Amino acid sequence: MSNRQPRLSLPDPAPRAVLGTLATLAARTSVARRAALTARTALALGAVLLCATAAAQVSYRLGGLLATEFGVAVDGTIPVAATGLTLKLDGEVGAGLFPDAVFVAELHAGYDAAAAERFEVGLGRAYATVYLGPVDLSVGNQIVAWGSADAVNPVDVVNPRDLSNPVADPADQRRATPLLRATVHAQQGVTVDMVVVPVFVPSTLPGERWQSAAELPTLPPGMAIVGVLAPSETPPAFELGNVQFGVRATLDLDLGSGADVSAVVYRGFRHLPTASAELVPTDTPGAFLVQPRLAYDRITVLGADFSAVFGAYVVRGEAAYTFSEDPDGNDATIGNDTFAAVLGAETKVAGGPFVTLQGAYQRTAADAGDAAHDSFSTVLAATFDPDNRTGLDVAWLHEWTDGSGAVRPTFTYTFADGLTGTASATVLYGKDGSTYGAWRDNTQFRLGLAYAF
Amino acid sequence: MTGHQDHRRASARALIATAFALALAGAAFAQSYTTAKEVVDAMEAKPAPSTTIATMSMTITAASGHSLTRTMQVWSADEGRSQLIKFLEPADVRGSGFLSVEKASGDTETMIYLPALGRVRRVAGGQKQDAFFGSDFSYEEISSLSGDFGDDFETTLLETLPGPVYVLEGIAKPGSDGSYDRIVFQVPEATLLPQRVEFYRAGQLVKVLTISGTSAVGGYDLPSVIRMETVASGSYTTIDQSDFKVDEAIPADVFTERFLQR
Repeated sequence: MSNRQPRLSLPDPAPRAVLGTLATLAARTSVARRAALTARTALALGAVLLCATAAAQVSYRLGGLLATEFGVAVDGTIPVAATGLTLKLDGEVGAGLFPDAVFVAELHAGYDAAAAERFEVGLGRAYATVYLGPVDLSVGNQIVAWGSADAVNPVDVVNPRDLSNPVADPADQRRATPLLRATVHAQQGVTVDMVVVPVFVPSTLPGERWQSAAELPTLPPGMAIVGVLAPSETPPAFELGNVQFGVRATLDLDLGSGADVSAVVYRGFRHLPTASAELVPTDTPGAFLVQPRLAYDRITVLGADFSAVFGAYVVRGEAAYTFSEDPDGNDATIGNDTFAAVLGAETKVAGGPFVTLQGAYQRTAADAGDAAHDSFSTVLAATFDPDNRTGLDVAWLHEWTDGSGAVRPTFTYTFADGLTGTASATVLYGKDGSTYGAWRDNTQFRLGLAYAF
Repeated sequence: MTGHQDHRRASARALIATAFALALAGAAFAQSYTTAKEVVDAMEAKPAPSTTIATMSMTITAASGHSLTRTMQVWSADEGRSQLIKFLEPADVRGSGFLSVEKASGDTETMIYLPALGRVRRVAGGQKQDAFFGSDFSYEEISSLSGDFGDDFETTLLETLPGPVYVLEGIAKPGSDGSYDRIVFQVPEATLLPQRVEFYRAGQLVKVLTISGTSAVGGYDLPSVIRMETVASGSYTTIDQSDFKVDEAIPADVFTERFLQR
């Protein structure tokens, strides 16, 4: 069995539907500042939780990760030239097998010479968990990974993503977000996981290199577009009515070598904006400016997932229906209902690689005159460890509706305890305008070195 | 001469005397068993702790001589039928865990937890034959470190070496889903713990396991230094077990998904 996971994500089509680079600017404004404020509040709450058990023994450990990465694309540009340091403090309150509480705090600082914002400092996971009998209560900046499948997870809706590199490892794309989480371990193999997300944090949009050019509307004769205004962003306000929440109930089934099934309900907002535009008249007759608008749609997600072991195979599946507030598709400024499902199987080939095959289907309902959109893609991933230090991964993603896709071979080598080197290539193919063909220029090669301590 | 030197000299004398006595005792051993079944029955009848907690240091050494080390905490109950392993070091695997629970039906439920993934994953039976976190041990072999090899094999006694040390051969029973079709293992009568196990597949020697150290804890002889060599690659992994605690009550909650990801 490999410890690595297939590393190729299916990007949501929404990012490329937004109006070019304009969207990127808006995503880093007031919402991000409010998220930082709420993260600090959550940390304070976590500290209070810890203080409640402070009479007990406290132990902690300081560690971290020092990493550097360099990449070059086929068009000669450099998509990444970064170095970063993540410090991690974790520990527990109490002694013995079952501590009273645990805590984690991660602080990241990085420099990327290829990024628009070269310096970056931010909080990663920073939360405390208190164990109260059968209940695990966590407060702070957390990552909640729902679902059973790999790479494509329709029910994994709690955390926003960092999609600046949209084909990065999906597990690395999750961004910690401030939330309150209660996990109840009930009897008979039932676990109920509840989350409350008080403040909305959007996903980081794909970098400029990954965004398609803005498509300006065609106007009747005598009318012309003379410019594009800065995008107007309308994030959900920080108020009680916009608190996001979700529940995932899991039942472990006493079948064979193990199986489980889960149901998910989530009420919140899409982490990626729906883009629209309107024309703003100028003082010159017939001359208009385009005003892009970015809105985050309120959604309700109903989903289910399962995993089951059948002999040498593990079968995993997920499905989710996302209800928007425009079920009839009348309003072009509101995203539509979507349905997504994924089914996959994995096994270890005797003496060979660990292989995963997944099929994913997504349907987006018709919208304001546009037809419904269907997509079907497959992910085939293989992982092989020729020796104790070397790892080889290959992941192939293919979108069958337009014939585009991506292939990513990765080579890893462990030089010493905690010191790992990585070389990977991402090859994107397809026709102009296709899902992945539009990104052909982003075909790239990356080298990385990481030291965990 | 200092007190310290006195102490060292006295210790050396005691060690030599003990070794001499042990050698004599070994020579004086008469062979107690004449069939493989008797040996296997004796191994199975040997008292084993109901639970074990230990710290395991695993050093993986490539044919080139370069090595990697992993440290983990191991909880084992029901004679190894329930087992939980959590990684402590190095930092890049810290928090990873492995849970294996044999159910009343005989099926084994196996899961792993990887912090980077953020959730517990089920593992299929076939994957148990894969390398355990890059070592020369497979998941299946790690699970049976404290167990026996008798259930899946028809055993015969090949020979008895001085000691006495019994050399047994096990041929996989029809329908067995193990990784090997033949094993040859040496069992000293003094410990009734296998000191060397050769694993064969299709007539080829695949791996060699050697137990070169045991610890007497709570009245039990427990393997403390275990080495597994992969013949084809020349790599080997050595496991040093320490900080043994035996027969301590381990709550059933330990062998759960909840504890695995704590």
